[in-house]
Amino acid sequence: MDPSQRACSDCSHCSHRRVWIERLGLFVLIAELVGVGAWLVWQWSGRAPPEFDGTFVDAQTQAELRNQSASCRKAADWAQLASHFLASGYFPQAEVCFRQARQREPGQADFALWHAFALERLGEIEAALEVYGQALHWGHPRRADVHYYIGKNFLRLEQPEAARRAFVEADDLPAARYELAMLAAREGRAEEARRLAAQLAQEFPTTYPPAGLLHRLAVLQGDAVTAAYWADQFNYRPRPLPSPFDQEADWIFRLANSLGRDRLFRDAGRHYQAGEWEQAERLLRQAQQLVWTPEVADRLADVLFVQGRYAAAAELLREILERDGPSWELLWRLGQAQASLGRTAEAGQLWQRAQRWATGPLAAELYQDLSQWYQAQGQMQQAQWFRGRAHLTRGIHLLDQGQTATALSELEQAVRQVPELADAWFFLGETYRQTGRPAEAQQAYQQCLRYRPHHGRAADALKSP
Amino acid sequence: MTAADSKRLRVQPPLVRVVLVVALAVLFPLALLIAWPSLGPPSLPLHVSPVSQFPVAEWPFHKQVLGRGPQFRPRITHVRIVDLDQDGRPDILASDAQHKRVFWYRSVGPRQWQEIPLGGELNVPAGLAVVDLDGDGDLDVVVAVLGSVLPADDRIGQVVWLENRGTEFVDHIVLDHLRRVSDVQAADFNGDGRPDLAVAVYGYHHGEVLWLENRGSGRFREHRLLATQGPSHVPVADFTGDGRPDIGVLVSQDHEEVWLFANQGNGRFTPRLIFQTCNFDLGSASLRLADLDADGRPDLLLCAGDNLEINHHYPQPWHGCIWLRNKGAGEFETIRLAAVGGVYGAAVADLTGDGLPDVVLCCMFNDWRTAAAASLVLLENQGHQQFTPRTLDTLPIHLAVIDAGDLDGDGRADIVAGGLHLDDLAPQRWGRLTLWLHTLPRP
Repeated sequence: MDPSQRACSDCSHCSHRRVWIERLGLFVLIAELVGVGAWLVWQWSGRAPPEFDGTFVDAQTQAELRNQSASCRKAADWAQLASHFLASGYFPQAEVCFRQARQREPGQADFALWHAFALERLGEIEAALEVYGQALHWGHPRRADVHYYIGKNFLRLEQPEAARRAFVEADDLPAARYELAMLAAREGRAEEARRLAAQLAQEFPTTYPPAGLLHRLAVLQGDAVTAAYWADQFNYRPRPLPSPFDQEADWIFRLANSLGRDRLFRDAGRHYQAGEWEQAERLLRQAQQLVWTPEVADRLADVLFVQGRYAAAAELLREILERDGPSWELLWRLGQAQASLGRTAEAGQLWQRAQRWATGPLAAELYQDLSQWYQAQGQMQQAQWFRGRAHLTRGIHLLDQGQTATALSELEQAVRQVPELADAWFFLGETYRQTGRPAEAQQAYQQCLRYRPHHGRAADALKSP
Repeated sequence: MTAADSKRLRVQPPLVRVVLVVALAVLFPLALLIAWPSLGPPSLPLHVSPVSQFPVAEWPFHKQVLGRGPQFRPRITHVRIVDLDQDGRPDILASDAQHKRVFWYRSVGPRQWQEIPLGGELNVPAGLAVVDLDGDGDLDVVVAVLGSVLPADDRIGQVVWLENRGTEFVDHIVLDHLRRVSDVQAADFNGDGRPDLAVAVYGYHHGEVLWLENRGSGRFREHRLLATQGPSHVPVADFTGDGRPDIGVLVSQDHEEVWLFANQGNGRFTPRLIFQTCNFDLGSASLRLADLDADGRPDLLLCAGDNLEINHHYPQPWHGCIWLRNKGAGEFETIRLAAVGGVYGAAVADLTGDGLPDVVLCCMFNDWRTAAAASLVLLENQGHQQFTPRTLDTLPIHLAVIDAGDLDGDGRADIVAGGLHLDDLAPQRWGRLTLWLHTLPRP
């Protein structure tokens, strides 16, 4: 065969291969272009979840938010991401995510409610009103609550008449009725305000807001007797009126506790309540590794204490004192750890330091510990003094909670232990008065004034009818 | 060679073209990988607070930390410039809720202060009144004891008198078993020559306003003026111009109003509302005494910026500073000075040196997730009741209390502010007590 002919026969193989290689290459390239193009169209037809500065949450929460962001496709995904942004304080991000959820499912009334709530957090009140309107349009089952929120937003815009109309639409929600009473009071319609508030005060006898309103109306009118009566009612009614906002607040707190470090802390608390100390300790240590906080360290010290690991608990408490400054509660608990380790002298010193500035109901336990410590030292007068203080502190707290029977028992014991405790006599008088025993109340107030002649509240109580 | 072979030879692709196609097929994915981050869809535009950032003020200053530096979550609840030892040099008093003490920063030289704790530990000290309570010629300090910076309705508050005995300050509990006490101020309300006290019991669900009649020898008789949620501040001055000190009361917690208890003498007061709004979300945070128009009548500055309903905060468009201008005889008009996010405190001084009193604001709840959000804002007095907001500084954040005065004796007003940090993140932006000392001397 001629060499040139041989070359041609070789070229035919080459050209055949070359054609197929080129066709394959073109096929792959076209497939890549079509694929990428389709992906781009799909991506750009949606939206990217918003960026956020993750340094304002712990690393665990940050990672959870980023994971959710990466898998955001359906309306429910956007709504969940929005809720978690809201609970983490990323209000602008929450708002855009709720907006995305609503765009995908415009008829979802819940999405509208939550979106409006997010807009309120940003101060975008006009926009929030519009979206609350959408929630009503789509038949949200909490119709009265939505009208209440609309009313509150008109108050924010200082449009009282529009607010009033919305509150009227809120059926008979006690919170809405209270707002109507407040509006009447502000607009000088005192009689109407009094009537509305008095009805609420009667229907909800343990709630303080209507009593507070009736008191201030009396103060402005110069009616000292009525003002004193309602001030007393205000003081001893422990609860707020039920409000729709309670539901949203609970929702946010639950969400916040479901993320990152806060979830670890919540779950540790559940294990603690169930007596599962090891699991509680494990979760708390995980939480501490994310970021040190005195609250987590404090709970961890608790867990160590109940397991009898007093030295370790004491070390943690000292660390908190060193890093976050003193509190009388920490000093008291460090004293308990020292006492459990047999270091009674140190315990006593810590408790003596704590009691100089302790206040509030929890101080009763400190006084109890001190009383026992002094008793062990043979200092009976001091022991009795702190026993009396413990009873007084518990009695005041029980009275404020409306538990008058047990308050009475504690306060009577307080004055038996330490007769010169003027405040014990005063609060005993208050308890007698609350339980319909005026003669005994008068005697108690007089005893109070005997030990502290300038006790104003006791003197005023004696003068009032 | 066959005809088919010849045809094939004529149509075979050039080698260069084949190599190019193969190269593109291989390189395209690589290029895609590099360009991936920028291929995503555009980000959703986020809400930007309109009350967080302002043009920068032309006010040169030297910034200095006062006392110990910011440790974990510093919490200052009150700050005040006062010459406590009456040596002619301004000192600074601060209530430290973290270390549970009132600290006296005694001026000991140019821009130098000595930290002295006053009295013993207190369960979260807050408002302070400086007054010679026992008439012995030196200044004592009366402390509003809050009990907790977080909401609590328990009786954890007190009023405590730190008696100045020359070489030390000794604690006396004036009133106990109160709910959280946020403010205390002093004046002789009944004209008997002894300073009495006005007390704001903020509480949480329950609170009250009291005046404590000084009966001498450390004895005080309490009188209740009002039972209400949320009274936070009780500035005292002769608001009505009749020569008797009256009590102004800021009530927040959904009420958002200012009361005037006009002193009628002999311990009697006539109450009146001088400011109210139906915007329950105003977020009133403090009430400051100031004569802003220098007409000799005491005015009030209402700071609105509180916003911590559900764990986190965001500046609201109605936050800022409101001037309650005293028109005389206890009548006030309301003038909105500026909209600034998260304002908690105000001080008045001629910061620009033009003879007009300016206002400086500190921000507690601005949009801290934006780096440029202002924490210190100057409201520059342009005259004719016009004030222009300018950013003085953006760090530290969470400034809750403020005062202004000439701290270094150069004739120009300086600023001191305290941080109240409830979050444990962003520690690089914490501040405890910070001074902004004006650096230009008076010509």
